[in-house]
Amino acid sequence: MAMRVLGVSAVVAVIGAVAFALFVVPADLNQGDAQRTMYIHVASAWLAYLSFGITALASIWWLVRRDPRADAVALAGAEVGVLFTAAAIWAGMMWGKPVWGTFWQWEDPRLSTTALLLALYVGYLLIRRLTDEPARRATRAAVVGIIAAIDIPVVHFSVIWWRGLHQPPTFGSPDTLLNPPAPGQFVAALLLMLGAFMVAWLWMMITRYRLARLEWDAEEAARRRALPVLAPPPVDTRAEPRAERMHEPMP
Amino acid sequence: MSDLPDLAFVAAAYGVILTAVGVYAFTLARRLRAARAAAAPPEDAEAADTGDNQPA
Repeated sequence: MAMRVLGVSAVVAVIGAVAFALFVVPADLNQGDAQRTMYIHVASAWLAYLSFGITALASIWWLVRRDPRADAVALAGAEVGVLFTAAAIWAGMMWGKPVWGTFWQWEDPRLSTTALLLALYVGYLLIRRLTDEPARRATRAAVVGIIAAIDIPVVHFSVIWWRGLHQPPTFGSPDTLLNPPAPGQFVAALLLMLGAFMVAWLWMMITRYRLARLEWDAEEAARRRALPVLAPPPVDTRAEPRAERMHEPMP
Repeated sequence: MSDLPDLAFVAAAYGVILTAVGVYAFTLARRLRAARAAAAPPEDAEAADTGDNQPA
């Protein structure tokens, strides 16, 4: 019931945030309607960071505790993160073409490192398909999940460390959060989109986590059925006791 | 700066993302329902357990 409420809330929130971003907030003076793409672009990018960060933490949790719940959290974060990374890239491209004059430029560090981030976590999901043994798969994935997380701060700070098409972060410090260098309506649209997407993100994370837990249990059960050698031998009550056989005379 | 797009272009860009998110969410819900159905014990457990799957 709670998940149903969360799901309905997510749908309502996303519809409201999108309507606000598209029809209520005025167009930007210089960028026109193209600027509206930023609301969904930035919200998606931040949720991608959050998802992959959770995957990294859950991966460490798995390696330390070998808890199947950790692997389920890591998988949920990676899968949902890939979705939001793809969304952020798509929205960025749709903004870049009219404003920068190009959909993509490999020389831009932010674009290149974000593409790498997407590739790393798609690879993470592919590596999970290499083995049917849940524990071995979780260990391999955890190592990849931790290594891939190195790219998260690289993506974020790439606009500060190197020069490219991307502008430095608009909300790069607590001071800019309190005194945003953008009109209040623009900031409200961004925060509204972020909040709405976060509700949807939470629903997807919990649902994917629950699915992963069921898949783990089903795989473990299937593995136990497929390995009869490792199962304890069935007790045959009709066989004569072993102790009596030992006292039989030698032939 | 190139020719700026109109609102329909931006709405279409939003539509692609929202469709992708919606399809993913719908697929997740359907997979979870199927996994729960598969994990649930059969209604007639005795009839389902014939003993054929026991190791020899």
